[in-house]
Amino acid sequence: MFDRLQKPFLTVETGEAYQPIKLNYNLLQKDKLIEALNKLKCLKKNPSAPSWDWFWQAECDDLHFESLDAFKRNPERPIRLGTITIREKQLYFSLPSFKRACLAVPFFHKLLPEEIVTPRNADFINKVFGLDERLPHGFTELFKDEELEAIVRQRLEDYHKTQERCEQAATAEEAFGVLSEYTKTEAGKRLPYAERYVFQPDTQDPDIAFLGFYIFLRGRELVAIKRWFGDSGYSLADAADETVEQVFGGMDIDILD
Amino acid sequence: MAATPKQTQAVQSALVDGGMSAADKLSLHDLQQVKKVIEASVDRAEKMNIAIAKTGAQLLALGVENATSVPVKAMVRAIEQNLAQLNGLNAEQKQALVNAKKGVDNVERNTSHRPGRSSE
Repeated sequence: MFDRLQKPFLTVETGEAYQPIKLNYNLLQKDKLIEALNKLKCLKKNPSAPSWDWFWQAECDDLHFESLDAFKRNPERPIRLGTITIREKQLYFSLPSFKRACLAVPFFHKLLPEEIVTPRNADFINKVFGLDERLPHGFTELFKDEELEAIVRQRLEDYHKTQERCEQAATAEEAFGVLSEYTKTEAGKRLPYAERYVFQPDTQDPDIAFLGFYIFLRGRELVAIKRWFGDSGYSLADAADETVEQVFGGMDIDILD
Repeated sequence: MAATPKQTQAVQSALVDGGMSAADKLSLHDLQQVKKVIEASVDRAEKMNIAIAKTGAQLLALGVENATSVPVKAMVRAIEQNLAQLNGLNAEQKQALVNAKKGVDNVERNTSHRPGRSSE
């Protein structure tokens, strides 16, 4: 424990924690996608495979990483932010941090029409890594589709039971009490090693949906970092509290205008 | 709990400073009651809003709802309603409450360091 308190965790070039994440998209029009990807100057095609490297340049030059204000970028050697791969009827983004995933989803949403690809889910690991720790070689060994789906399914089943109880409650206050008790209990539980986020189809306001994705991942990043530094009791509920504090401040309501 | 003449005078001065014309019609007791009511309702609304915001954030963090879902939207509306209720006071009521708070705060500040406070 005390060893770990002294040790920094592994970070990527842009400053955030290394936490592998894989974005999975439904590929609807492969030819049009390839055409669109080849047009982007921030992507570079791998000559031997249907994959592209995504660089911090050109169309995505103004992406901002708060963790890296002092970093001197070298235009001759742009940072590779991730890798994009086409496999059968799927498109995958392999990214080394949650922050990059949160930037990638809205960025590519603007560039790639929904008729061509739609985001399906994101698979990731709920931990940060030590500098000398063995890193996972590939995502396949980490993400077991059935296990990830089972976690999502179980969580939704529990939530639907809570929704039923809310609907049967006599008053709105009682319903809210049921709901808040559920979220408090669930968000207090230990997170699984690997997990999946499922994007909702037909979202009317994508920007707000992306905010939800950010809150989902940001909470988990906080949990992983706090636990790395020895705060073993820190949970998603604590992270959500911190997020509320950051978003709404102290919720000070002043009757003075 | 009774206000001494000195305290009443202090409250009145504070109210006049705060620009409330009907200051001399209010007693310290009245002001303290008003202040308690204001603080209790603000406190209730604050606690409720924080509870709603935390639950909304936890729903998003669990991934069982997204930010555009009906429950999350309903929560945001509830927070807005709470704020609207607090902000629904008219300008005169707001000014009266602000002055009342200010007056009582002044009296409490002026008397708190003296032994044997008679207003508490």
